[in-house]
Amino acid sequence: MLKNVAVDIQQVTKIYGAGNAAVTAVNDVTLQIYDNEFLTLLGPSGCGKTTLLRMIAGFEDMTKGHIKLFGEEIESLPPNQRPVNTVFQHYALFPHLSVYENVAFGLRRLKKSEAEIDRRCKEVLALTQMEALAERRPSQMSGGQQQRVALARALAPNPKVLLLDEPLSALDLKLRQAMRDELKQLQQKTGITFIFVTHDQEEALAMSDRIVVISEGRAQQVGTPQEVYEAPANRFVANFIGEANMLEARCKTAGKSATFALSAGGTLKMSASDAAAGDPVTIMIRPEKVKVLSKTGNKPTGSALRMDAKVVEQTYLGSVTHLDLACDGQVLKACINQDAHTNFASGDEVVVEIPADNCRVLRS
Amino acid sequence: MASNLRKSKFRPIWDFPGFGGLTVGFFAFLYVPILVLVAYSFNGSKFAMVWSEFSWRWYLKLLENDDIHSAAINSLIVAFFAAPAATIMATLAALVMVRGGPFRSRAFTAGLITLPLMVPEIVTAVATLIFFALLNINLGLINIILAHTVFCIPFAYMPIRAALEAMDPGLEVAAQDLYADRWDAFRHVTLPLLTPGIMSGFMLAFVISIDDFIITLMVAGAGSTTLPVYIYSMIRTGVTPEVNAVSTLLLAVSVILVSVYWLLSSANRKGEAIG
Amino acid sequence: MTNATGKSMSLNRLRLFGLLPTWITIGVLMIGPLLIMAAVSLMEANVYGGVHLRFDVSSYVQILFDKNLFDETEFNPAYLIIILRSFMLALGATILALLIGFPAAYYIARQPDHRKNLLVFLITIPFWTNLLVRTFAWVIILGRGGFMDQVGSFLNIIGPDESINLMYTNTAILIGLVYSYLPLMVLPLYSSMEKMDVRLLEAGADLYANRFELIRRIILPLTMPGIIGGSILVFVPCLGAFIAPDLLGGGKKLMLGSLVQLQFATSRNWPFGAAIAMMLLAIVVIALMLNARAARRHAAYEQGGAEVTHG
Repeated sequence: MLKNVAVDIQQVTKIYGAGNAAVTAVNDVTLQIYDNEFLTLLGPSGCGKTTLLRMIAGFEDMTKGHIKLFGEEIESLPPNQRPVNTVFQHYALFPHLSVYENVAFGLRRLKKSEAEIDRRCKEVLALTQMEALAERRPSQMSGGQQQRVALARALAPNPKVLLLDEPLSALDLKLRQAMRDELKQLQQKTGITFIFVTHDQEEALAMSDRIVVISEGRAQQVGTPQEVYEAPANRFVANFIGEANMLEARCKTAGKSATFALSAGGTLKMSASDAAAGDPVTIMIRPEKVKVLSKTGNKPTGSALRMDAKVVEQTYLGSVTHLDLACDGQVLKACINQDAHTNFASGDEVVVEIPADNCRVLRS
Repeated sequence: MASNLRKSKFRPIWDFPGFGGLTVGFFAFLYVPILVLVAYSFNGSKFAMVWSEFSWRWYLKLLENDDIHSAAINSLIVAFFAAPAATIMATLAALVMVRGGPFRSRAFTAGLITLPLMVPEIVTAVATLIFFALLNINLGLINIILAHTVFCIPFAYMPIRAALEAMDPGLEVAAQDLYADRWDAFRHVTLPLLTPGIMSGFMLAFVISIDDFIITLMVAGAGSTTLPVYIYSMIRTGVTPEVNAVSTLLLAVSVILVSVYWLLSSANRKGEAIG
Repeated sequence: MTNATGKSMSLNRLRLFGLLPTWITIGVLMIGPLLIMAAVSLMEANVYGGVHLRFDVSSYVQILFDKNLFDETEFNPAYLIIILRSFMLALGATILALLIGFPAAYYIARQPDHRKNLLVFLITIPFWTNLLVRTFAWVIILGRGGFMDQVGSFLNIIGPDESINLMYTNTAILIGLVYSYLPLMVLPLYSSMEKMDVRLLEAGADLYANRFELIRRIILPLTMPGIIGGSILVFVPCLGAFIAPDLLGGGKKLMLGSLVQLQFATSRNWPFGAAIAMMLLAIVVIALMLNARAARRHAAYEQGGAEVTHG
């Protein structure tokens, strides 16, 4: 199925200042965003994700590159001529207008008929469950309500693309989680492309069709939540999303059935890796994939690597237990479910099993 | 580095084209008349408005003019009495208003203090004139000093109040935590920190008193002319370049005083960052 | 200061001590005179200056009516013209000041901090200089053969002996009024503009507003308190202005301020002067009440919208 490209970002770069004081906020980002997808720009503070968003909206100009919206170049268009609307981080609701008038603002500027404006506003207010508060002022509402109004206002003009700049960051935890589902459903219902910016990886994983992980102005990886979590492209992505154990190793034999010698000792046999013999690599494994077994009487399972370890720290978190294990000079993190048979405490000697299938080879 | 830079200049949406130029025009409108006045004060020609050559002669003539001297001295005397009086009263009032806690006459006092600013000057002038005349108070310069003190109070009050409000009340609490009683805390913490604000208030009150015209015009009796009133009589008798010169001097005094005030308050603002 | 009541009593005494000087000074030297002036406006004039202590409303009547040769009361438009002129000139000056000051206030509010402070300081300098001297500058500019005429003949707009002749016209007074009180318009405007959140403009543009619509729909409503405040700060002094009509109008084009001054200089009609002054005072009170009402309404929606509230 051929997917329609909604936003085509080509080699976009943004540099602030000049000479020695120049700061590169966005560094040569190329990206295709498809129609009717929920795409998240994920990264730590200051990584350039918001700058990229603002360039799509038209509030910043680009130092280099092109942006096309459904095939049309939009760089030369001022923000009020781009069919793109933004939900701002702190909402930017007009304090002197009622909720209804805030929502109607864009439609009025587009010179829609009064009947059309009324119909559309009611539609969008119903969509965000704000009909009852249509005559209120923004100052009379809670943060969650203001957020919905900001959403309704941006949706009312039926934009081709909706940009959301960390809209949930000001809400408390429970509200944030509830809004996650709502936003996801909203996107599916309206069919509008959502470009969502956040630094919260859990949010990104929960809501997105695809995630773009950004660091220091560069796109580190683009993929579905599964791809980004299970097959991170590099150390940064592996560390930023979820937790990761990093084991240094060197490739012994390359090819379809590659072997890697861990610096901590032991060998790992993995299928298909493009590392060449002698290459230094990093083997990554997620804590929840690390098996922790008691020392006595356990049969080795398949091609897993087994190592002796000692429990250094145990953190009980209710649904899971985190274990810090000292193993041949390095610390491994494991995440296990405690039950009647497995109750490890600090100081216990255990066996750690690292299944090769769950490992991932990263470039060093 | 710039291979495909934008051709048209990008303008952030809040930057309106042309407003910069209009602002330049604004400042030109504000300052050109003053510059013209100053420039013409150096006009060598006897006719005030026809330029001939650069000359100091009118300033030199000022030095010989005894009437101007006494008028200037009167202005200074009035200011030197009215400004401190107003500043002291304003300081006390500000202390009560900002640190005095809630009390019933607060709104009334606030209104009272801003009253001289709200009432049109001509009305104040007339009322004061009637007051002095009907009550037969003819104390020469003292009349003027009394009138000036009244409208100097709000001008002294504003910067002092601002400085007090910007001061962290926690400082006085900290002082008390370190065994200072109320009076000590005031003397060693509040007052020193407030001093720049008080100085600013004094400067403003002083400038306002020096510059006052309408009220002084109506309230002054014979023999107690201040400089602005004297300038007015000079203008009435005929525009001579001397007027330009003395006007420029008066302008210079005001500008210097206000600049000192501004420098003081910028220093004050920087000092607040720590406290 | 041992017990609770003892503490509050001495606090009260401290407050009294702090406020009493101000109360006495402004009370005796401002409120007292205003009350006396109100009384004087209802007294009979004494031809030699001063008043006879007799109740007489004739000064208020005099505003509109006069006795003609046949000792009949008839309508006298003379003072009405002065009142009208004062209103029109004050209104005109306010509007002009708003038009001139608005772009400058906006531009300065959008500058980086260090430049902002300097520019605001430059606006306030003229405000602190002598009003008489500043208005006199316009005498030099507008007078016959003055600066404007010299520039005009230099640019060949007028001949060498001709004059643009703006002096002693209503226009000259208007210019003088605008010039006198322009800073008072710009400062409240600037304060309002500074408080406005720029992100609201971004939101407006995001929702397809062009620059005119941004001004009309967002900036104007949100800076309205500044506009109203500035307008009052200009309108009121202009109504009671004395220097501008006196110097630039040649004493022939009277405004309320010069009319009042006349009564205490040559005309010697104190009650009439007091009556006009009372009228001015009444207008000021009305203007202030309108301002307070507008400010209250705006404060109601000042807080929300752009900032985060918890909920």
